[in-house]
Amino acid sequence: MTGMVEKGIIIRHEKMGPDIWRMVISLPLTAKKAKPGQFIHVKINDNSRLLRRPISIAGTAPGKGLVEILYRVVGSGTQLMSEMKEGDTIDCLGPLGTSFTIPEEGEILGVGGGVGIAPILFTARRAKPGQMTVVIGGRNKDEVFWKDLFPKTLKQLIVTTDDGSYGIKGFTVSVLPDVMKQGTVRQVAVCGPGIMMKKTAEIAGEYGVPCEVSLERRMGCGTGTCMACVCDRKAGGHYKVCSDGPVFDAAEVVL
Amino acid sequence: MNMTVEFCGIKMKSPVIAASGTFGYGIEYKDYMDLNQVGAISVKGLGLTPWTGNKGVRIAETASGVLNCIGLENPGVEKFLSYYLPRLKSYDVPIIANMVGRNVEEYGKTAKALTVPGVSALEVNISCPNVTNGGMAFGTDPKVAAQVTAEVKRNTTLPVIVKLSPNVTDITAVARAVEEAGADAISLINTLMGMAIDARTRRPVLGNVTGGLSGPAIKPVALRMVWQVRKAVHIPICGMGGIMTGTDAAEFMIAGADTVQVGTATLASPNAIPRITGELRKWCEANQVEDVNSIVNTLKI
Repeated sequence: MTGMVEKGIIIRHEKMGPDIWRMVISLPLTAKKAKPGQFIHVKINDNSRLLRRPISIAGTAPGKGLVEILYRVVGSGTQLMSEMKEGDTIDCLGPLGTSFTIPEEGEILGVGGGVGIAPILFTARRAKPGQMTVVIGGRNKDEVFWKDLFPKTLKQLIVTTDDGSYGIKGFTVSVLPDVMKQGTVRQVAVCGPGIMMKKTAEIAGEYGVPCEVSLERRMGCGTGTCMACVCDRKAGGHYKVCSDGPVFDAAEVVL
Repeated sequence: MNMTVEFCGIKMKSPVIAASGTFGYGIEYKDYMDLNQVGAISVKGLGLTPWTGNKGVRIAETASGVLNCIGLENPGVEKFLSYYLPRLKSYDVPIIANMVGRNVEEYGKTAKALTVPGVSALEVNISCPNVTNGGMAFGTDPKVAAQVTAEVKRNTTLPVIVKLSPNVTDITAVARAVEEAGADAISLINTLMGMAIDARTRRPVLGNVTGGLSGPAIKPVALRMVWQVRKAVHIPICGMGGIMTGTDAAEFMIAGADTVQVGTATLASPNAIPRITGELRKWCEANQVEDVNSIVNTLKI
């Protein structure tokens, strides 16, 4: 999928949690094309920083031409990004990559951990009312702001925290068997830490339900040519996360 | 204002060439620009058989630079000839087949396999710092560099461009050696060997520990080497290393490069080449230059 270089004005920029920021950008072309699971490759507003940062799209408002992202400050590049002001212009390349499957019929289970909740949020916003159950996990109650961003039309929203300070104490994967047992889930979508995606794919597999994972790698071009962001194929060889992914059938990649 | 150039017999619409390893096999960029306006495309380095590249993290950002240790992952000559080359034929842009080998003999076989209609020239990579067998091992010893050049020349009728490594004490010795061995042109520089460390974990950032540095961080080194090589050889030169703007491209040409390549700028933005080409044209117009060729090797000292 070829993206576009689109420069947009930052409409809203706010700190949501200890290190998570939400940015709404005016990107009409990207907003029109973007699908859940896709990302934008964001240029840092500093010429000494050459590589873009791949950031999952958390939602769009195509009518208003808006794209919403939630990102974690992990290094000096995302730190600089967090210092940008509403009204500033930001250079984005997108929408890039593959997207999550939203089946015509049947339920979806979305599983998200940490900042990996963002593409699950976008998926939930595109799912039909009552079609999706979402399980999200965070370290503690400081990260549960995510739950308020989800549409009220979900079938169910389950929150877990590592320390039990909100919702269910424990990891997202420990509640998955109870959801799967109901037998109504037809598709699983997961994005989060590697171990979480591996376990989720295993549980989905036990119930014979297809599972899609969204992988993250250090990325270069974003256009499928530099070969920096590769992951291992189960069948041998590599996939490029930026263009063959980031969303893959869990059965096809080494987790 | 003339932007067309002729580089070792290849007619190009501009002196700005897409650098190997940053432009895939060209067609990936067809929706980002009019490929017909690109000077030439040097495709990602091709091996006789597919190469799998290095394990672990392959890219890192450093101050004004990019470190990579891809390790020349590529689908091999056969896939290039059967899949990519036919798709490039509908574009009016010269294709330079960048190629690698694990030994001198393999360089020859690869050159022979790539000598087909649709390929305008070969660019011989003897300068990749990220592979153990092959790459830079051939580019740091003038004698071996000459052997590889001669072997490629024996196996092709196409113009041969030899891409030099900056990771040497005296680049002019290697440049002279490949010129004597029959190279039709020289391209320089490939990446400078470097590394990045995560102090928190005390581990290297890159899976291969070391990598090749590119981008504006290496531009002064590249300019110096182009200028030195221009004085040492008579064959044409393609200069590269951190070109991000049209003025950067002009600087390389003034230092002695007949053409230039743009690489890391494409990683930063896929539409960098048409932007830089347009800027070079504007720079020429602003400086009363009627023919871009006229600025080559005009450094005033």
